[in-house]
Amino acid sequence: MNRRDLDQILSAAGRSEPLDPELLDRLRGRVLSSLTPVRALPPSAVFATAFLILSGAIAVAAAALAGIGGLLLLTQRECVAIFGVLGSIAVLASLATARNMRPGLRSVPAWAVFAAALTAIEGVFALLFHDYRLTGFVETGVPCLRAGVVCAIGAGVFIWLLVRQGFVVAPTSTGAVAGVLAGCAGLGMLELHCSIVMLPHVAVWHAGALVLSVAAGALLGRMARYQKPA
Amino acid sequence: MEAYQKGDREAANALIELVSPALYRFLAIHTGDRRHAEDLLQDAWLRIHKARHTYRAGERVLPWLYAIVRYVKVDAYRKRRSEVYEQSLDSAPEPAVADVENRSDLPDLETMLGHLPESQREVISLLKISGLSLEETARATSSSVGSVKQKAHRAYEKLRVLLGEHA
Repeated sequence: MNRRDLDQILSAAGRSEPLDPELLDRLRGRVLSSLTPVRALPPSAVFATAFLILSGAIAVAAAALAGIGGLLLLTQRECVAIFGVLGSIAVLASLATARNMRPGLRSVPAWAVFAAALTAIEGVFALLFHDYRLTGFVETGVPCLRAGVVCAIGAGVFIWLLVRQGFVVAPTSTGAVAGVLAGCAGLGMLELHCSIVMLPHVAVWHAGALVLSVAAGALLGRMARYQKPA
Repeated sequence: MEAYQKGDREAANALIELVSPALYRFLAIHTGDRRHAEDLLQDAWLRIHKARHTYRAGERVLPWLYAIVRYVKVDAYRKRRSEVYEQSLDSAPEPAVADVENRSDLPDLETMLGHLPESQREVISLLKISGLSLEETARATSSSVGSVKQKAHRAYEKLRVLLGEHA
């Protein structure tokens, strides 16, 4: 049996059957009883821009509250490299999150966004910072991680408020890419605020805020899937 | 679709009549149970109605519709998992899809497709039974065209082996 034979069998099985009229009536009843005009969702680019501005604003606001000691220690080259990479990751995550709000739109897979984000940020840290000491690794790291995660949570709440305007058919993936975006806010705040430039510290604790944010986003997305629809 | 978004009852009615048979067929293939497929179809239309604001004018409708229906199907499958297939196999529910005519020497469609992994069954039913293109199937399943092609190829190989064994 060749492929053409298989196609014929499958196509024959696909001949349309009329639906039970009672079923059609039930479908009509459910839809027409609550039919009102709706305003179409704005284009994905609008939401992507909103996400980007939101995460940037939250990172800057949080750093302004906590202090910008980190920014004052960075050279111009380091600033451009770190915030350039962070901005690029945020753009990618913003676009992916926005596209996940509409069914039937292809988007970059969540695992690819996360892998690109982590690789890029760890790569730029490895290139820029050459202090490999572990002085006060845990004592200084945990407060940094906590601050980054809190900032990411704040960004995540606002991102979620926007995302729920759409209709998400892949909640775990959407939660993960939204987590990357929120994590960028947390990571951005840490780079502005934290004055520790030891590579182990930034590679583990600063990037750890991104990792935890992605994990939390994916988990929340998965949990949301099992909630009853409104 | 745009008229439906604007609250046009005739457009909504026409859309329901036009696409519901194909959506039902898709659900029936994956559940193997007429009643369950009907329940899922009603649930799907509730979600489609709720999500109608997310359709973008000018975009293809089928990937949008099938992405939502697929979401409903996956949701139901995760909740009922093996219970659905045990019921469908053991208690012989009403067959949901008509057997292929004039090929009585072949297993029916459900049996054939039931041997495929879920992802391959989904791709084959969208491509060959629902009539979506590769691009549309990729959009409806949130995957790439390459992944869809690979799954379809593997599904064909399995079906060929299955039908060879049956013969």
